[in-house]
Amino acid sequence: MTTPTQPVPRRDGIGFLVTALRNRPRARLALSILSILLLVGGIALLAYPFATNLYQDRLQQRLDRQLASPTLRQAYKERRVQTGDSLTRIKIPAIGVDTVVVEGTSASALRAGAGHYPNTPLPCETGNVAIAGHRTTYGKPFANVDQLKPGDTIELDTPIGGCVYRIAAKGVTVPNTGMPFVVDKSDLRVIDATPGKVLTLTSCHPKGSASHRIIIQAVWEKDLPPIT
Amino acid sequence: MRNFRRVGALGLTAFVASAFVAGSARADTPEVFLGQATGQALHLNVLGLEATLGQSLAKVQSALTAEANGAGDLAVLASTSTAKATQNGQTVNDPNKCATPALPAAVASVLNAGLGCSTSSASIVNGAPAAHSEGSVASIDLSANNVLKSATANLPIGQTLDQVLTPVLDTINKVTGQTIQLSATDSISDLLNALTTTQTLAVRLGKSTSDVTSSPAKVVSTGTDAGGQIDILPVGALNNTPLASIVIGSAKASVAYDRATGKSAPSWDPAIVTVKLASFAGLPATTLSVAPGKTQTLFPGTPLESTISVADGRSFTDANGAVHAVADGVSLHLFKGLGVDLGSALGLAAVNGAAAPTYAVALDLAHAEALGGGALPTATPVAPVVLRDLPRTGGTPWLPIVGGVMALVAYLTRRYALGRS
Repeated sequence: MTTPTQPVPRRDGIGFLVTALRNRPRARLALSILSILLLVGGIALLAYPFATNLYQDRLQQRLDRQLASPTLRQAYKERRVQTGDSLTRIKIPAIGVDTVVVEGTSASALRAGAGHYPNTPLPCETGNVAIAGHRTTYGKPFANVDQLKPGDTIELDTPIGGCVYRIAAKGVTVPNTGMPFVVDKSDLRVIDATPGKVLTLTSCHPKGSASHRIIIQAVWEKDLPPIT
Repeated sequence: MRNFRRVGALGLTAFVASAFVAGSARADTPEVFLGQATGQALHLNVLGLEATLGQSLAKVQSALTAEANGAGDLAVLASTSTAKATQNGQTVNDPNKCATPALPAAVASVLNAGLGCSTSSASIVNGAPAAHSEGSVASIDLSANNVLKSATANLPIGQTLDQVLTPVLDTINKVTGQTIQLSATDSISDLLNALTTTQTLAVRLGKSTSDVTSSPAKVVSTGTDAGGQIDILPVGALNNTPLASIVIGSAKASVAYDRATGKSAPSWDPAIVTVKLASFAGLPATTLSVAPGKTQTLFPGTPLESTISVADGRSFTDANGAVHAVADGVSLHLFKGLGVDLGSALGLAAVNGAAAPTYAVALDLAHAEALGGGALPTATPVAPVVLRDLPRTGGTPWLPIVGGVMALVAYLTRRYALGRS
């Protein structure tokens, strides 16, 4: 008669590893800390879009007050609006946009949602006025610019007056295109100077990607009286 | 697991809170401006002794300062006023300070001045400084006839003056019943007796006003002098009708500084002077106008010769870039032909060893000045932004996905690797 033998515990596989970890206090501690860090980081990344929207909303309230201030009006008249300061309000009724645009297109300036290219003319002036806006974060003011079509209006209100642009049927600085149109992110033709009054909006495309840029170009239609 | 959830909530809160980060600001050179106005009602030199009456000054600066000073007579504190404001929302008034001017003792016996008054105010409202001041002396009466008589006892009237004043004497004779006749060889002293004058000059003056106001658009500085009237040798027997009246209109100088462009625009209105010669028997009333930049002589070639010089206005830019506007006023030199040292007649020593003046009285009136200037604010030059790509305004969809994966891994680790629920 033979004696039954006990099975030999396996010394390989996930199970062995898990058992080994459970039996070692230091390893358990390290794993615990790592899991907490992963959790905090994961939640932070999940909340990132919401956090940027919250931040942009708070910032827009401050910019709204600044846009109406006599100090900014004087600075605007003297053409010395600083990067990050209020410059103009952009309204696009077709897609429900009503946002204060700041001066500058740096990463920090664009936390306001939309920023004015500093080397382009001021709103309503002769030339190609260019504004960049976020599509998926920081209030995503340009989230639905792909829904705009020729004939839609865009209004810019500055401390010293405003104007209305109407979206063109075709690209102004990039010929033979429809509206809106998509370009490579390095295609700077879209902000080339123009002899007439033009407005160019840029944003990332496709949504959630920064591989390309979607462009809206509009032509000046009329001026508006100053904000009271 | 409860701790797990607590840690998760803490992490989320910390991340959201950290999203609110403020940026920094840059400082630029601020705007600078200055506006100032001054006015002077009267500066007189009588027998070599000088006095300035009816002064005003107003000044504002961009460093939120507004100042105003006025004086009926600077030498009399009771007739001076001062106001200064240095804070936003501040208003300072110093009104109606009046006193009798303190004239030099040596001439007090012949000179009588009316009340000298001033008022000043300064304010800063909504960041805009403003200043206003006024200075005035109502009247100056010179009664130096006795001095003139004793000093001119041997000075002949001369043919010209005799002819001019004969109609006056005739009128006086008719009124008084006298029968005084003078010839060219009679003295000035005799003439003064015959004219029944008790006063040499009667001066009535308006006030000088200085005013500076500021607004977001401009700073305006204005100096104004209201002018006045000088009656020469009022004839007592003829209801104090003067031989001649010099009427001086108002003078004004102004500078407007444009805060948007940094440019100043000066302007001025010099005083218009009119000389009225009284009508006497045989002579019609005569009116002479003296244009800016011109000189008019009364009673030329006679002991009573007097000149009226009306200066034109002018503007200039000083070394600091401030623009000035000046309405130079009217200068009168009276009785130049007397040729006597009246100061000595009064027992006055020569002033600073200077030669005796060739006139009995000198008056400078209707002088107003204004200045304005400033510098626009400057911004730190910004280097042109060189773009390689159009600005990035999105493109991070993977962040939430990675976050979800990390959170899942953390959960699985705690549940299975560590055996915690």
